Amino acid sequence: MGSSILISIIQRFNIPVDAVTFFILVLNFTVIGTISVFSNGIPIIVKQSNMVVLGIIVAAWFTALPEWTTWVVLVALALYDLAAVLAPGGPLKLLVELASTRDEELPALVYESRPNVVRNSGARGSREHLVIDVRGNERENGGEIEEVSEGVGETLPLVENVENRSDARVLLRNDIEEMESEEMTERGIKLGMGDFIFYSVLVGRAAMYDLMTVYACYLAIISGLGCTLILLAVCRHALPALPISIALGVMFYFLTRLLMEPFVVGASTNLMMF
Amino acid sequence: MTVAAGIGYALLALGPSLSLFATVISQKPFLILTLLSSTLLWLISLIALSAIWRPFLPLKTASLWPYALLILTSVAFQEALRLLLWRLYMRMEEILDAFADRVSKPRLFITDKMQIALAGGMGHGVAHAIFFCVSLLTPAFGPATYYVEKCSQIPFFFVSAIIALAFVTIHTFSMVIAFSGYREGNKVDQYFVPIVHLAAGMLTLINLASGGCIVGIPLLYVLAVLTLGHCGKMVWKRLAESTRRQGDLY
Repeated sequence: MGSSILISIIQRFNIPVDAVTFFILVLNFTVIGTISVFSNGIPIIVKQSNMVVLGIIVAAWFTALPEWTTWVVLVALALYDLAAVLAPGGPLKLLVELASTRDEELPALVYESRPNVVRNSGARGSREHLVIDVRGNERENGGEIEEVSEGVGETLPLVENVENRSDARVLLRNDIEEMESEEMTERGIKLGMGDFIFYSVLVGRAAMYDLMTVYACYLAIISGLGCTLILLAVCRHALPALPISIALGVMFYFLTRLLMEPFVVGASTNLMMF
Repeated sequence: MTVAAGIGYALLALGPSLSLFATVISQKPFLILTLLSSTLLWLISLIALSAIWRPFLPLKTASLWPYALLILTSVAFQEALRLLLWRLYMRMEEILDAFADRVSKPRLFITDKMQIALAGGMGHGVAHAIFFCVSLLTPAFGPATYYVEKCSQIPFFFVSAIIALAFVTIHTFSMVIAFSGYREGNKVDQYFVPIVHLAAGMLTLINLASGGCIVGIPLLYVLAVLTLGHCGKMVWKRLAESTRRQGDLY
C-alpha cells in the first residue's frame, strides 16, 4: 500500500528512480518497520517515525472511502472504542489488564513489550487505547528523552510551579506529551496506533473539503486529546482516546463547513476582518 | 514561483508570531497549552458568531451598515470572550499560587504572568490569521492569483496577508495590555483594548470603497504600531516597578 503511494509521489514530482533502488528502499522500510515494532534495540525516534508513516499511509487509503461512509465508520469506531475499553467484558479492557498485571511482575520487560500490545491492537484495525503509567518507577523507566525534558522543565519557573502538586504533575507531564505526540508511545503514556490512523483519517477527510476545516478539525482533535488526558489524570486507568476527539472533530467539521465557511469567505473576500 | 509566493504570503502573515513562538512560547509547555486553548476558544467564538450571522449571509446590499453591524457584534462578542478568558485565568492563577505557597516555591513572576497573557493573545491572533488568511491561501499555491475588484492594485492574498499581520499584532499585544489593565484596575488600558479592536475592525470597512485599501491598510498599521508601542511602554513600566519593589525588599 505504501509503495503505491510512493510510486504516485515519484510520478508526481518526476523523481528519477530505477526499479531496483525502489525495491531496496521499500524492502528497507518494511524490514526496519517490523524490527522496530518488535524489538527493543531500535531508537525511539525510528519507532515513532515508523508509526507516524504507517498512520499516514493507512489514512491515505481510508480517504478513498466515500464521504458518508467515512463519517459513519469514524463515529462507529469511536463508539466501539468506548465500549471496548470501558465495558466490563470489553476486549481491550482485558488486554490492558493483562498488560498491567504482567507489569507488576516484570516492570522492565513489560514496559518494553507494551508498544507491542498497542501495535497489535492497532493492527486489528479498530482497537485503540490509551494507557497511562501513574506509578513513579515506571516513569523512571521512560528513557532518556523523558529525563531530558524533565530537566528542562524544572529549570523553568512556570513549569516548576505547576509541577509541585502530585496531581498536576501527572497532568502536566501528559500535556507535555500531548504536544509532542510522536514521543507519546515510549513515555508514560501510550496512544494506540489506531488512534493515530483515525485521527489522520478525519483530518484527511477534512482536507478534501477545504483547508479551513483541516485547521478546525486539527484543533478539535488536539483539544479532545487534551480532555482525554485530563480525564486520564483523574480516572487513572486506561481510557479510550477516540470518542472525545472524534466527536469534537466531526462536530467542528460540520460546523465549520456549514456555518463558518460562508461567513469567513464572505467577510474576507470583502477584505473585512475583525 | 507560485509555491514560493504562497509560502511567502503565509510567512508574511504568521512570520512574526512564528519567531515569537520559537523564542518565547515553545520553551514552556504550559504556554503552549495556553496558546492552544485560546486558539480553540477563538475558533469556537468564530463558529458561534457565524452561526448567528448565517441566516443573513451573503449580504446582498451594497450599503455599509450591515457590515458595520456585523463587525460591531463580532468585536463585542470577542471582547466578552476576553473577559471570560480573564476570569478563567484568574482562577487558574489562584490555584497555581496556592500550590506554590503550599510547597513554598516562588509564585508566578510578573514576567510569567505577562508571558501567559502573551500566549493567550497569540492564540487569538494566530487563529485569526489562520482562518482569515492562511485557509484562503490554498489557491495561491496554484498558477494564478486573484484580485478583488475593490482593491485592484495588489493581489488579494497579499492584502489579506498584510491585514492578517496587523491583526495578529493587535490581538497578541492587546491581550497583554488587557490582562495587565484588569489586574491593575487601570481603566485606560481596559478601554484601550476594545476600542482598538473595534477601530481596527471598522477600518477594514474602508476596503469596501473602491481603492480604499490604499488608505485603510496604513491606518490599520498605525493602530497596530500604536498597540505595540503601548504594550511595550506598559511592560517596561511594570518591569521597572517590580524590580524597584524587589530592590526595596532586599
